[in-house]
Amino acid sequence: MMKDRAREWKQWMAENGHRLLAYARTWAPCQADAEDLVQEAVMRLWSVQEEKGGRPPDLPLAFSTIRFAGLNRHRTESRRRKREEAVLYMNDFDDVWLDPAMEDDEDALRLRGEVESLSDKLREVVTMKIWGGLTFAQISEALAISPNTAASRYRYALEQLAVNLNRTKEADHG
Amino acid sequence: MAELDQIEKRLRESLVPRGFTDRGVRDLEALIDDLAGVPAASADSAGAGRSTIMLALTRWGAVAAAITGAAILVWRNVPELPEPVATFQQVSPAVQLVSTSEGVVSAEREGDWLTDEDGSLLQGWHVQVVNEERFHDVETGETVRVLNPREELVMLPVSTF
Repeated sequence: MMKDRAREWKQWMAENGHRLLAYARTWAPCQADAEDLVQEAVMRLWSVQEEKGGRPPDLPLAFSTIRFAGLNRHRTESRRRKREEAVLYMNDFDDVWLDPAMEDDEDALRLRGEVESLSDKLREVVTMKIWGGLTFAQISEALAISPNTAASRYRYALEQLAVNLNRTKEADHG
Repeated sequence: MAELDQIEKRLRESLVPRGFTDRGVRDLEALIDDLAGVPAASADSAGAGRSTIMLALTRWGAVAAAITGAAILVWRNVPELPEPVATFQQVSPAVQLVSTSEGVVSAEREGDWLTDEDGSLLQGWHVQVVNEERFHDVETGETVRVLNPREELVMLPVSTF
């Protein structure tokens, strides 16, 4: 019985884990932290789902749980940093969360830079839609916003990306 | 509109999120086995899902970071009362503290909304937090994870209504 449940959750993670990780990465400063966030979410979801027969959760619930864990971690991290202001945090520039599909794809690298510079609210909708594969209805459920708000944030994000990419290209060729 | 479709297409086709590291997959499998109460040996024999999850999660994106030795993870279910298993001082010098982190096990809303000094709305959450410490035994090469649960009241900003 419990083996079956473990197998079912592993299968669910095999199908959806990469989506959850992509979203978790927007809340975490590095790959290891993002993986920890997914683990936190799985722990919490397991407990929540026990009341519903122990089956793996719906995707919107999984995304909103990662969001909660990310918010909580952000709060803890901010508090810790305030305590340790003298510590210099090194940024690992190789630890990026999006890779270009083709090597040496300068356009993809530029696009990645623009995605990273989106505001948190816009970036999370883009991440959920593009790499999470969620519908606007599912995004609205995960973020507790209306589907219209989800759709307009997504559209606004694409518009910003288009404008910024054009500006960057012009500057590069200018 | 066509330009936005083009941006969307480029996002889908030219950027790929990184997948789990091998270690991340192993930790996740160990966690699920432990939550299900499945012993590690049994999990190995039961794991049609093991290869599935490993293949599916690591094929996504770039190659994972190098594996730094086999790790045996001991995962303890959260006890009802906080019960520190060991302190660092009690452990032999051959055992090194590798990392510490925190995880949320459960959270429930607590009380009404409050405002902070900036006028921002805050919601109280009663949160069960597990503090995790990872120790590495230099002699055996094993890594042990020790969990210490505690309860906390957290104030989070209310971003949606």
